[in-house]
Amino acid sequence: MMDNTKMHKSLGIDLKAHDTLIRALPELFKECFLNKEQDLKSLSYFYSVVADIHGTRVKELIEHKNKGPVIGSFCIYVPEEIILAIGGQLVGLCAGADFWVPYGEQIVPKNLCPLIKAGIGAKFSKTCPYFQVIDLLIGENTCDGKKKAWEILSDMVEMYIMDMPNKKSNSGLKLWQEEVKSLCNFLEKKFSKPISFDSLLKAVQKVNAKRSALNRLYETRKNSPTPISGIDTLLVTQIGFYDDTERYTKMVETLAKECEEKALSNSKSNDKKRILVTGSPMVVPNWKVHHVIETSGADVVVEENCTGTRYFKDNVSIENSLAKEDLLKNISDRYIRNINCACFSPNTDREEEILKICKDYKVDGIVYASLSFCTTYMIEAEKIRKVAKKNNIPMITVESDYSFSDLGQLRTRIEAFIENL
Amino acid sequence: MKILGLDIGSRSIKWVLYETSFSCILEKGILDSTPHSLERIEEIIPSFDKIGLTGYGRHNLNNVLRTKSPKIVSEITCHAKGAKFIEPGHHYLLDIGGQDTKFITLDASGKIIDFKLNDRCSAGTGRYIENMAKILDLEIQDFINMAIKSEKPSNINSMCTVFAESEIISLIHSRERIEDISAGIIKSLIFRTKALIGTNKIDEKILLLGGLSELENIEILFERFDLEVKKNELSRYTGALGAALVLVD
Repeated sequence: MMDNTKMHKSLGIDLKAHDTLIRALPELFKECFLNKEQDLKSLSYFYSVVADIHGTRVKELIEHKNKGPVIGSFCIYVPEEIILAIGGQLVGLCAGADFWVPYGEQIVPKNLCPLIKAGIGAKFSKTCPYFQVIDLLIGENTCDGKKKAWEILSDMVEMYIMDMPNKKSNSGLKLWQEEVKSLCNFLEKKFSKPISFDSLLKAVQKVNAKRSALNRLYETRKNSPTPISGIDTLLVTQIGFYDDTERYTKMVETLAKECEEKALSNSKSNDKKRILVTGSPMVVPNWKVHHVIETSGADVVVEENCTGTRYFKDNVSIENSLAKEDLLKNISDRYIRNINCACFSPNTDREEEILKICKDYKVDGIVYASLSFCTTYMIEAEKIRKVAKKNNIPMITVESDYSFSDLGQLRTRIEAFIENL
Repeated sequence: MKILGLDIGSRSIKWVLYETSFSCILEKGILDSTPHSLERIEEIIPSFDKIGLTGYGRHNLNNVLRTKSPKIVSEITCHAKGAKFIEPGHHYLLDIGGQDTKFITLDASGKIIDFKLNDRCSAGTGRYIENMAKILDLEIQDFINMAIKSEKPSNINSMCTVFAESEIISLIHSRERIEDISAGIIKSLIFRTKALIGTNKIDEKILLLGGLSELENIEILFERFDLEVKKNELSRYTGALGAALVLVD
């Protein structure tokens, strides 16, 4: 690995604290990824990205700043197409490690979800190079915690906030269309760069290609046995939030192809139970639930969450798009109609989506994993439980944060759940 | 064939030696989960043909006993199997353990339909009762005997074990009767248990498992606070017994 010290110093990173953070990663990475059987060659790219997560990619982003802005976000509602169209790069910011939580708790209440606490802590502790690189952070009002957190973060980093409707009604749709348009106008002005129809169309095609590649990869998981483990796919999806879109798309395509071939030539059958994981997003390096499930003898075959199918499942339509406005409308439609975030009420589409996924992926059981204090997902678990029960799909709800103090309890629950499937 | 079931709990280690040809328990034993007994575990347990592990320490002890190729099963499955053996036909199991409380629902055939566990907080577990008795300077059985005498149980509102301790200390300082404080502690445990179960009353008796079940008259206290439980002399051993039974074809 190259020495990143100089670069980190130039970004104003707290080097001592950052060292502690980076030292903790290899153990976790070894435990979750390197200690298991692995025969997919194309995964080595994704492993190498994580192994150097605060190195090469950060360097690329610094270099990119000569050509265009680097913009951060915490949510899949922030439309990547528009960022790419102004020549920008969109990166998912640090929010997945327990390391940052105590820093966050110095500023925000303890009974907030670990994702928000870690996100704020990552900035406050100056240990996330991505946070240090960005020119702008785009926030979105998907929950009360985030909504108020932006007020605090805006003292530390420049922010633009998109408002979210609570209902997928016509007026809700309209609000979001306006928000997408406003974002476009704001970015054009801020970075003094107009977005043309062509540049937006190209950006839409790029992001569509990325989604299609992920779709192709997830399709291979419908095979029994699945050619790729759940934790590996989770890692691949997580990297999608950081990596250069075009390079990433190519790498996912290669991996999907290898998985397709493996599935075709697979003569070994296995009788492992097939698990759907749903609930709150799982940000790098939050691999806990997948790790516990897959070391308890089951396979995670699909994730219905923001770091799973919700991230890529539908593309932006380019049909009949003659002007920039048409594309912007299609973009807003794709995001608002098809992402079943628990911030919506009601969110019945998610119930149907989960049932469909269970059928398509031949799921034996659902692990509903919510982050602690993630109110909307925790409450919605009851609705999903009822629907699952009605359809004879066993489900278990687990609530956990990023710490490892509850690994024993988590393992007991999940092992017992799998034993009884 | 002799099968040993080992339930490595947070407070104690239970073991049961089961003979398959007679379908009966040959021997059983219990020891504290201290570093000393864990180190000597191989000397303490009797000889066996096969071994099953359960309880919080199941994965850790697996490293020690690896040469004996143990089977590892979660305590929820084991309790269900063990309970079915000692009390067939019971539908509800309540295991109040050292650091967690489990409520398991079985169908008529003994299969698990549902299970619930307390969150990682220890309030309402066996350890909670142990600590509280210690504050009152009572042995655990004396603490129960004391609680039974109470006619006006104190109110203890804290959800957290540590805060409940300070609450109890202020009750002591305000000269509340020890029997009322004792009964108040049990009341708070049972209320928490009821919240976990998710109902105020259950139409059938619950089979009480875990360390608490060894206390005399504990079921009287449960009944006083509207939760009917039944005990069995093997209640403490269902986990260990189940760990053995999963190895029986």
